[in-house]
Amino acid sequence: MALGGSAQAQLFPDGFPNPFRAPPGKWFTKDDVTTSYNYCEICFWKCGIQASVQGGKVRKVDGYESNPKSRGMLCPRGQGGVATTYDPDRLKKPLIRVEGSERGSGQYREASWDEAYDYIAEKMNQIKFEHGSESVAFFGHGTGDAWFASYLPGAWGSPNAAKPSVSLCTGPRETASQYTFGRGISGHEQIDWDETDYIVLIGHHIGEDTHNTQLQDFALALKRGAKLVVVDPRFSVAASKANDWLPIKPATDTALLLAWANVLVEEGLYDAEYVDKYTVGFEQLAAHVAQYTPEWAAEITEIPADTIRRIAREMAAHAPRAVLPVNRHTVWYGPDDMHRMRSLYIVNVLLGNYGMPGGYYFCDAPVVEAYPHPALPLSPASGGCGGGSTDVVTDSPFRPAADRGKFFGTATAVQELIEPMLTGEPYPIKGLFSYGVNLFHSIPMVERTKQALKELDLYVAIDILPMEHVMWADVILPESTYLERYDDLLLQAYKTPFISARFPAHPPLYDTRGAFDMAKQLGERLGLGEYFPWENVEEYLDRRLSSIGSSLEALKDQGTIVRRGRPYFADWERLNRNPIGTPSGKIEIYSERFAEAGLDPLPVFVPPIEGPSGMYRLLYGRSPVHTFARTHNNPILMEAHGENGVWISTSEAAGLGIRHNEYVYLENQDGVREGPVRAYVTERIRNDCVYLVHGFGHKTPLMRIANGRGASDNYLQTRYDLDPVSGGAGLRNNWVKLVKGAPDPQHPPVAWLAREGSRA
Amino acid sequence: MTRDAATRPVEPADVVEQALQLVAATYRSPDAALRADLDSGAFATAVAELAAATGVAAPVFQVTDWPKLQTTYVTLFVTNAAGVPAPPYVGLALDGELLGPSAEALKRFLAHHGVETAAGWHDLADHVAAVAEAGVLLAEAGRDDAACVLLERFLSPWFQRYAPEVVAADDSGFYGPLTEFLGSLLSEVSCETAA
Amino acid sequence: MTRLAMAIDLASCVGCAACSIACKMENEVPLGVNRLWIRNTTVGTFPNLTVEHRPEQCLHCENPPCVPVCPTGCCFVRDDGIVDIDVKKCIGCSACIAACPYDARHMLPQGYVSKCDFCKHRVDEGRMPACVETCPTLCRTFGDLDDPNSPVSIAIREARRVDVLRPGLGTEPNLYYLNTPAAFGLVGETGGTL
Repeated sequence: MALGGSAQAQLFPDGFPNPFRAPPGKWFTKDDVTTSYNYCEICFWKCGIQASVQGGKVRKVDGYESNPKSRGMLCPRGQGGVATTYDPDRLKKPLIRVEGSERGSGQYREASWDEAYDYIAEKMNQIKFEHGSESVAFFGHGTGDAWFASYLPGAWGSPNAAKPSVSLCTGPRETASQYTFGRGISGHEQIDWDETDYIVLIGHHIGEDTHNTQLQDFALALKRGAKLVVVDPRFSVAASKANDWLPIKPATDTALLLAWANVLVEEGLYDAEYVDKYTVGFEQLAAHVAQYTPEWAAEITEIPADTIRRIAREMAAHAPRAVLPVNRHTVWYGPDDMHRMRSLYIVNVLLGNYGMPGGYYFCDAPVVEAYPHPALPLSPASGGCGGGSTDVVTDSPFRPAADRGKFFGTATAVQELIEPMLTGEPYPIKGLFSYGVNLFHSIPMVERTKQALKELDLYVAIDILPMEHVMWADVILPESTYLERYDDLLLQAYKTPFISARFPAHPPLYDTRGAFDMAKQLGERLGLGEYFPWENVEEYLDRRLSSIGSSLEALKDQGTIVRRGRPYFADWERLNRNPIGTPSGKIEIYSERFAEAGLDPLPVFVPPIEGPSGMYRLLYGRSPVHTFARTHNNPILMEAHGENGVWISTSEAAGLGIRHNEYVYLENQDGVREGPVRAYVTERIRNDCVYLVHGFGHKTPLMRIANGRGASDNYLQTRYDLDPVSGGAGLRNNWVKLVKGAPDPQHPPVAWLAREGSRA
Repeated sequence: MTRDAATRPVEPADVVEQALQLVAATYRSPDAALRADLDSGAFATAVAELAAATGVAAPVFQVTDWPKLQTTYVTLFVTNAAGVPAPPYVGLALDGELLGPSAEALKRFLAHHGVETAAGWHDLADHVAAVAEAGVLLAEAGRDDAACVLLERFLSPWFQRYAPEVVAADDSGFYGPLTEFLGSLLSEVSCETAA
Repeated sequence: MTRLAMAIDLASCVGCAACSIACKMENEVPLGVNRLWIRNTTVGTFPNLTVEHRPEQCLHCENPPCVPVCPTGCCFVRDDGIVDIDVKKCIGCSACIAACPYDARHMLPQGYVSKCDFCKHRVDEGRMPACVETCPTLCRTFGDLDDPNSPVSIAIREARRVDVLRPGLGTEPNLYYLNTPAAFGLVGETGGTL
């Protein structure tokens, strides 16, 4: 018979005679376009988005006006992140590692969800029987970490639940904030950009870090005429917008901040009325900072004393509408980090801007009642970038977290849980859940992590893609992407606090599930069913929303519910309430609690550790189109930024005989080598450091686009210095040299890899 | 595999249906049904019949290690630390992307012929096994012409693109020979011969 | 008359490529080609530096060199000034690609030429082009130059400096760059102030 010529019925649908050519017209011309509300999960700014679906596939996501974290706009990652859902390399089914095969050898068989859960539950119970429930650790990052780094470990009884977003990121700023203001910094940095006239950024990479509304607010402030000062060893994108760039010697920022405090105090430029009304400890500070003159700081920072004085005076002239915004990634140099963040807060306080228009505003998450459930036996102190935990677990029937005693702060330090896996001290950790955490691209000392994984009795990885560390797990649980699943409500602390929800744009493509379901199913098998009393995620969400007179159905049409905030002291004072949560009820410039613990009650400058001669301090940062190490297999984002380069100053490169764009190796102080990586020879960096964008240098062939492109800063971080206060791991005390002679890896074009990946 | 084990000549008109059945059985995740067909010899019989009917050389294969077969399936088609050699999606072979125009065309084609993806199928509709099963359904419903379109225009390109990868990467002694055989078979079978 | 134009404020642009990727998603631009791309250039020596982040795309010229060279008439200018392509008439001869001095056109795998069309499907519905809508620095404005109250007219009027790419060519682009970070104008250009 002839094709299409069947006598029984037409072979091909009307108007579409040839199924093998693209139908005419783009997605937006079709009549089956639908939209659904969501919040983006490509980074954790969590912008409100609307996903447009056509033909069963999300074609585009856009911000929407009524969402305070997108306001109808979106960053490159949000726009292009969609492609990850349609990545053929995605994890598709639960997998169990073949008995007897070595971890990391990648031998797996498919399993049903039931079998995978049973397998995990049995091993967990065995570990509990042999070592105690605390011997299962939980690492999490992403929306589902609420289940896998807080709720499930709380129900199960393990305090060893941790997030890299604390001790490998925000820890120092959160601890400093808790002990200065009695409040955390909210997850998006509560800077009153709308009202500020003078901005001083210290190592803050706005523009390269495309946190959507932060970038909007920053751009609008500059457009309005706000002055900008950028302190950075590198001429960052933010520096390119600045009125003043101060190319500071790395690791000396605290000296600069203390000198600014000195000028504000010595010259009487601080806001005396504010300081008197809202703070304690100013007298001690005044006496303490007398030693930190601009001349002293100039020696250390290599910024002229005159410049230090001038900027301090300019800040004061604009106060309280002058602000030094807190940045996010604050684990830089270890012992100095908490002091640097305290110094930063104190300079802001001297300017009288905390809780005032144009400075820092107050924000709290909107209240939506939890789904009723029995009290958890334990509250793990995993913290998060939305606030370091100050939970002190007392009268707990469980042993304290395995990192206790190493530092003062309470939030669990993820990197300190690796050692117990190897040494069994203070007690063994034999089981590990990794939810969305890239173990080999976030935790320093990668070889140590790999050794530790080999020692475990159970390692479960929950993820979207077969990242390198995922392919070491005993059980791999594939998660649906944010476009395919419901999740818990987003309760966002903001100037206008808001509630938003995630609705699946289409059903999961494969046999994947959300963390929500996984936690419940697993909980039930562990005999913890009473803690998971809801029927399903829809019922859970609807019940929670009913407590505020809303419903899941209502939110489906609305996306976001915006509340009124209380951003300033005046808003709280009208209600006779005090937003400051310290024991004194005041902003504690001088910390009695630190003094009692034998810590410095006022910030001090800890001189930096110097590196071996001939080596450069390794600094790192962000790409505007990538998030952590998780977007590097996304062809659209990789086409925009496909490999990182190592920034080195023109004069140093000339001395080494290295040309721009030449491939080199990076070798660190312990002989660990990364690359080949391009040399980015530039005037935009000091002579004593080099810089890499984080997240590149993947080593999984399966991630066919990500694999082997650029160099990983994390693999070069073979040492770190613990901040004894916050527990943060200072990562910028690693040094590298550039080694010539690396071959050009001749990366195929991303478009080709995306299409023909398995032939690569 | 529903055919009885007795070897009998395959009518030319049945070649398409039987080839589709074999493709469906081979590329579905190795389950109890495949194991039973392998153990009972029904699978080997069907292969032999098809070889005889089409003149394509019969493959030499054996399955002695069932767990190994499961592992190899994962490493060839699902998840593999060194890269999945043969993602089992016909649209990917045709377009170089998932859920692209060919997958859409396939979906419309199947919808037009009243075939839907079952609720229990947790994979893409253009998975090789699913496309083959759809073809079997169409053939059983008397739409050999439509079944043949699936075979010729959707499945065959997948074999052309990925059969060499499967053959090179297989360490089970099953998927390599079967894929080579089915690839050759599908290139032999055209809708004209089936008609 | 309607004269559609776009302005990009380089004082705000951070070169993040949100516009480029929004364009890619909106218009299903295949991998390997772009309608909109970013050029980042550094000027000066440490520590006196300037970086220009400059998005580039079709400039929708008043005198578009691509239009007269087209043998089939598929390249044309709409009444509102959008330089457009009627893909049904395109034979993929590439004459227009060669004629465009800004490299704004590319060949698609399907065999016809494509480029930025100011998201005409959105413009026709009264919406902003995808790049303008998504930009998190709000550096882009779009509208009718003949309407003094359109966002683009206001932005150009209020700019400290206005440049176009390679004004010497006489193409009279309708894509304007505002407030170049370098005092001399666009990097790698001779400059040209309105």
